[in-house]
Amino acid sequence: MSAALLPAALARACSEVRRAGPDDAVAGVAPRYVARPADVAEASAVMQAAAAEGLAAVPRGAGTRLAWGGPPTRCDLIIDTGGSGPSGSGVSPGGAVPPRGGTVGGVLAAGAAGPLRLRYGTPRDLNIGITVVRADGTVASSGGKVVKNVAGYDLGKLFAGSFGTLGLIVEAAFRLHPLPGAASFVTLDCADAAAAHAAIAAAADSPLAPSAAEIDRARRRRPPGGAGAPRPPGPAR
Amino acid sequence: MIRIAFWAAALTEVLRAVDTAASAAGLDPALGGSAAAGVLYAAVDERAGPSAVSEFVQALRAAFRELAPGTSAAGPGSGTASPATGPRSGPASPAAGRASRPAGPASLAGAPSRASAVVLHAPAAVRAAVDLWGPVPALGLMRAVKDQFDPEHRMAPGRFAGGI
Repeated sequence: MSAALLPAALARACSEVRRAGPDDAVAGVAPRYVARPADVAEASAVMQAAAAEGLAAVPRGAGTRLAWGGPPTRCDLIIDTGGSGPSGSGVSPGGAVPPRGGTVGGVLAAGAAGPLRLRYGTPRDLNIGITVVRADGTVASSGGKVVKNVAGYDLGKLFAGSFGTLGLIVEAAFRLHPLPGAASFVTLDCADAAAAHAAIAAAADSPLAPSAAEIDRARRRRPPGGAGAPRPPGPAR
Repeated sequence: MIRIAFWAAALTEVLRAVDTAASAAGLDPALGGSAAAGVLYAAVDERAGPSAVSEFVQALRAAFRELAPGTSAAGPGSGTASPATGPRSGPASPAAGRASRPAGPASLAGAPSRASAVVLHAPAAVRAAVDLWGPVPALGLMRAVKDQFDPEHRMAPGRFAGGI
């Protein structure tokens, strides 16, 4: 697609800008352009260009949870950070593991967490530092890369679950935990809610300190035409 | 898919509320999640009609309003299913954070519920018929934060609760 169809400021700001296609819709709302900044500097330039052009921008990571949350009332520009996976000093085995190709920023912005949240906390709990690009293109950092660095506002907590409404997450640091040496799984069939509650409470009270304690209940009726009972789609298994 | 965040000691009541609301609405959701951390996900068949899903969500929220702070959670693990209060098991969401506060004497009518139900994703027809977020306390504060960070409301407008 010709660059002439793109806003000039946007095309100057980012080497990878294109017109949006049908697959780029956010909860049914079609954007006009997709920009894929290569680094923080380009992301900042893209946000500045969007501000100059008055474009409404929706951040997108891998897009695995783009259908969560409300449909945007305006959506001119997708800022695509997909493929910017975890890097640097590694990823926690806790709730912060981006599932199925998700991005770190996307997990944080969607407020997602998996079963290990019980022991390790959610990504929000484990976040110790964050860098964001604000709506006007300003790059802002809070926290750091070590647990003891606690000065300033805790932007990470604010941006957790923000669905992109406060700005673009471009970097996040997390407290890490070692992988366990061994893991085992126990399942228990429970007759009713009280029995399930008793089992969960017993596990929580035991000295074993479980990493996760999940309820997993399939549909009781087989769905019409379905091959079997689907597993509940928890967000990060 | 609906995310149910709740005070973990009320697990029995929450599971029963899901069953009661589902059968009233004629739905049969799959259910899963971190029960001990106070988060469950209910997956309704995507072919369910908007009115049935709306009825389910409203019945859930009505039942959760009854789980007011101060009422006794009669489950067998009452008060113990939440394994710790430290940051390791920190609240799952703003809703869970509210729910884990100790009950105060004034926590009756209008007080934050011990559970919440948020529709995470749904077909367009269901989105149009259902209040996705339900009651959100502190919305005024969240709007003030939004105005600080994004005064022109150009960042993903409408994606968050209250049109934020």
